[in-house]
This record gives sequence, C-alpha cells and structure tokens, in this order.
Amino acid sequence: MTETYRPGSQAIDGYMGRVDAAARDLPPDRRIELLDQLREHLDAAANAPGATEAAVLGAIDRLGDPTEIVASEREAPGPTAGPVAARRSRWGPLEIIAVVLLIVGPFVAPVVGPLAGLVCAWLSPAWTRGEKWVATLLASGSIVLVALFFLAAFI
Amino acid sequence: MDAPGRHSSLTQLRRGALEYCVLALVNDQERYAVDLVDDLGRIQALVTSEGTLYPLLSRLRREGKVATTWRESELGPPRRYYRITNSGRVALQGFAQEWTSFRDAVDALIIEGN
Repeated sequence: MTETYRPGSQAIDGYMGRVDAAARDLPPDRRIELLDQLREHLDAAANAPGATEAAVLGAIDRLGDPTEIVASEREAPGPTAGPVAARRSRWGPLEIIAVVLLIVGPFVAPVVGPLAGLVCAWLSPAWTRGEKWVATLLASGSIVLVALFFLAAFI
Repeated sequence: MDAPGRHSSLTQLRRGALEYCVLALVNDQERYAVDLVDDLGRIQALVTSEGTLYPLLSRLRREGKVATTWRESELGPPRRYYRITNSGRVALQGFAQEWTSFRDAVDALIIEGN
C-alpha cells in the first residue's frame, strides 16, 4: 500500500496511542473492537472529501477523553462480560516457558537463554507491564552476572 | 457549574435513555456507525462525548439488540453498519411506553407544579 498524505494522521495516531494505553486492561476482544471503532471513526473524518487538519482535530475533540471512553467500555456489562471475559489465567504455556528460560536459561545457554525468556515474557498477554519490567530487571541482572563471571575467568 | 448531585442524577437519566435513542435511530433503517455517532453527538443534551457511544453500540450488539454488517465503500475501507434486531425492537417499544408515562408523571409534578 502506498502512503498518501491524509490530514491529521499524526494527531490520529497520537490519540489512538492514548486510547490503546488506557485500554490495556480490557478483555482483548472488547479492546480490539473499541480501537477498531474509534480508528474507523477518525479515518472517516480524515478520508472525507475536502478534509482538513482542523476538521480531524475537531473529530478527535468530539470523541472525547480516551480514559472516559475506556471507562464506559469497562463498565458496560454484556453477555461476554461474565465468565467468558474473565481475566485469562496468568499461567499459560508462554508464561511457563518464560519463567523456565529465565531461571534455567543462564546456565544452559548464557545470554541467549534468558533473552529468549524475556521475549516470551514480553509477548505474554496475561502479565502486566510492571511484571514484565521486573522480569527484565531480574534477567538482565543474571546476564550481567554471567558476563562478569566470564570476564573474571578470562582475565 | 452543576451541583455534583444534580450532575450525577442527570448523567444517570441520560445514560438510561441513550440506548433507546440509539435503537430509535436504527429502527427504520440501518445506519453507518460514523453517521450514527455524528448525528447523536449533535444532540448535546444527550451526548457529552461521542467516543462513549461506541462502547454503548458494542454492548447493544452483545445483547443482541442491534446487529452489524460490513459494507464496501467507494471512499475507503469497508464500513460498519448497525441495524435493529427483533429483540431490540421489542426493547424499544417497551421503553417507549414506559417513557411516555414516566415523562407525563414528571411533567405533571415539575412543570405544572411551577
């Protein structure tokens, strides 16, 4: 696809980024639907014949505060808001592999092992950002330790 | 500025009525989501932030009161259209009756009492 100039596309991306950040804790299906709807709304404003930057900014303004929109999605009940939309188990295969690689990885495959573990941890849809950062800090600690060990062994 | 109590009771009232206004707007014909939200957004007494209408539309879809269809568009990507379902129509008719007696009762007390 060729990228053609559309008015307000930067503002749209910025706004969608804020919605995305606010919507992190929504169940995935509802989060995707909400993001799609809002993106479609703003794309329509940007693609309208004779659209201007000001018109797109006006459309963004009328949509309103992302946290308010996400809050109304969060409190909207519905048939899928029950057991189906309940928070995923925090221990899927990806999470288990991540922990195993982070713990055993440094001994089996220094640097590569824990790095692969980190990739798994960051891909996990079940863990929060904070938890992923804790995993990253702990793993980089082990990578630094292994590096120091090798450095000491060679000097 | 509204007093907090007044503001929140108005918000509740608006929230309760809004979904039926959405159903009324798609009652006769299916509507393109963006047009539907634009039209509702112009009614300032009803809608304070257009973006919050999308969670409402999603909920009505999950509840089976509206259904969505994708239609090709000459202007760009496919468009999402909403139409009312039988269950939505039943809900709307029920509310319309309740609303009339509710409105008359409130009018009788508030407007005619003043």
